[in-house]
Amino acid sequence: MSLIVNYPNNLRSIAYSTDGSSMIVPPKKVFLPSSILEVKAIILGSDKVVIRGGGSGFVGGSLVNNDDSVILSTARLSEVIDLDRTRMTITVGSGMTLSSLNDFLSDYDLEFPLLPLNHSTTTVGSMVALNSSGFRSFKYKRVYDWVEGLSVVDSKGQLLEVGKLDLNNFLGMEGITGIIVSVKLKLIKRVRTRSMTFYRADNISKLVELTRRLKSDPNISSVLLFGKDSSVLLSLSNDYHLVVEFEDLSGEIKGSNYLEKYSLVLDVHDSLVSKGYSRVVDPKIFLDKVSIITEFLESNHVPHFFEFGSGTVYSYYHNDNTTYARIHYLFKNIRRLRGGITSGFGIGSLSKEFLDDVEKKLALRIKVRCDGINKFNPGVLVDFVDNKFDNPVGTFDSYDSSESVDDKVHLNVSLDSINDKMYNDMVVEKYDDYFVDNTAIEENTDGSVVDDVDGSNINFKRNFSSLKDHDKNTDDSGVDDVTG
Amino acid sequence: MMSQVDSLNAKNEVSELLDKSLTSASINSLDPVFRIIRDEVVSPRGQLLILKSGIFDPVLFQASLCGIADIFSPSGVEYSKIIRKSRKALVEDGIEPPSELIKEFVKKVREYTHND
Repeated sequence: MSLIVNYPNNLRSIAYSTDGSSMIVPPKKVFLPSSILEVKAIILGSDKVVIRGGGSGFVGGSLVNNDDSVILSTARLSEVIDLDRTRMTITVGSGMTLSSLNDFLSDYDLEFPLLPLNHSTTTVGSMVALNSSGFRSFKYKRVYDWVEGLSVVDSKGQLLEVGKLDLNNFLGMEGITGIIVSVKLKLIKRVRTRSMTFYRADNISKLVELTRRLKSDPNISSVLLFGKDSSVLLSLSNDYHLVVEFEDLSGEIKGSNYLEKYSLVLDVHDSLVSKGYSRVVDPKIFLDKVSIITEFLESNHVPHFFEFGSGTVYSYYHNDNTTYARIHYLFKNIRRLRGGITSGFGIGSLSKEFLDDVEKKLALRIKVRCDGINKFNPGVLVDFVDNKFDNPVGTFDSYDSSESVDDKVHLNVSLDSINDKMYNDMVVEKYDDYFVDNTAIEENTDGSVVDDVDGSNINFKRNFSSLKDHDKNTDDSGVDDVTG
Repeated sequence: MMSQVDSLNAKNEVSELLDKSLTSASINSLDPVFRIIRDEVVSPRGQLLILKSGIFDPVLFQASLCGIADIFSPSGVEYSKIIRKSRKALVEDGIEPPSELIKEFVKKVREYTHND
């Protein structure tokens, strides 16, 4: 199937002027490369490059902050490059969305288990650049644990193959060190049976204690704690609720009920944003500090919920003239409790002033080592002033800026010709053309399992019916199992 | 003269609908056109942003009007209604309805989504 697409740059400038942060900064130019060659040419032909994945970040990391920057969207680097079903790994373009990845994998009885907050939109490259965690990090930790390798294009236009040992130069660096073009990920066998239970208590410490006990259960993938305000969004009573997801049938809510109710849980973020809470931060804290932070957030009327795998507190603010002060105050308290200021959203341009000196120094060292000319994502994570930075490792001076673009990488296409190709003659192939033959998929003949309850389908199901509190089944712990 | 009034009315109606509409990326991945083209210009969020900036461009004819954005929008944005009214304003302004190329485009998108 061939389609001709030609969009004027003024339309692109508007369409790419924002992300999930609500900031609006129109870029002068937007590129959508569909091959590594095009990525290289754009890097070499541009002074500053801002990298954009799904455009759903909360900290302004994919927006330009100066006139020299162009946006490079990875959205068209979304092909499946290799699937190894025996070793359970997949290599995909960095622009593939997580929901597309799991859609693809479901045909092979595999899945990628992490589920970031913006799971429907986020791309694989963004998850790696932010070292995301997510709803299931109780069992599956962070993206770091699931990346086997990366392909990255550096500021000189060179393609680097990055193994596990060098991952930290790119993973969690928010795109300031290079453009991730493809990622090799570990996978798990598709989980066909998931269930969940709601636990209710009027005292948060009871639920924290319950969480400690749940940590030894290998079948639990997700533990979320909803405060009084956010419980109401789930149509639950005005108490504290622990939402526990099991990877077997030991939870109280199973089958289609599980799908309906877990999608409500996943939709809490969207519900809060649609109520005008457009500024979201995700600091992380230790389990024993949860009560203190809850008290602080409740007294300040900040809707929030906790994810206990990574210790993340998702906190929501209206964007007004008090927002900065309120977030500053939260971070100050988080620091006093020895917590971190982000768990997976990143620092971007909005939160970098809250980094401490050690964090800044570490980020700058890696930035200088990998991108000494400050080409990628200027203004994100660290402030790096060209030619004024006190270079601690010496690579900045070693970069020869007099070398011409053509000398560095021999390309047989010019930037203009790539623009022409992208804007005027884009060939769109059907996804089927990329896919491996799936006729040999083993079928699950075990009729005992509940089918179609994997995470990949959650994105596409939405339930508007309310959850009802069921009869209380109080146990000795003083925690009520409210799922009935 | 009549068409200018109709165009203005349609644009005012679009403006009223946009005033209560939040732009969100959460439904981009469900949009059949965006899933193929992969360009924000044709995404539900991108088209709202374009309209919010006061531009009525023929690119609005590329929405498939499948209705999925209406169903899944977290804030209840009436995308189809907004796009239909915007198209009306475009037509009243004398801007051509879809060329054969765009008709073919929409047809292929529909074929693609039916086979998906």
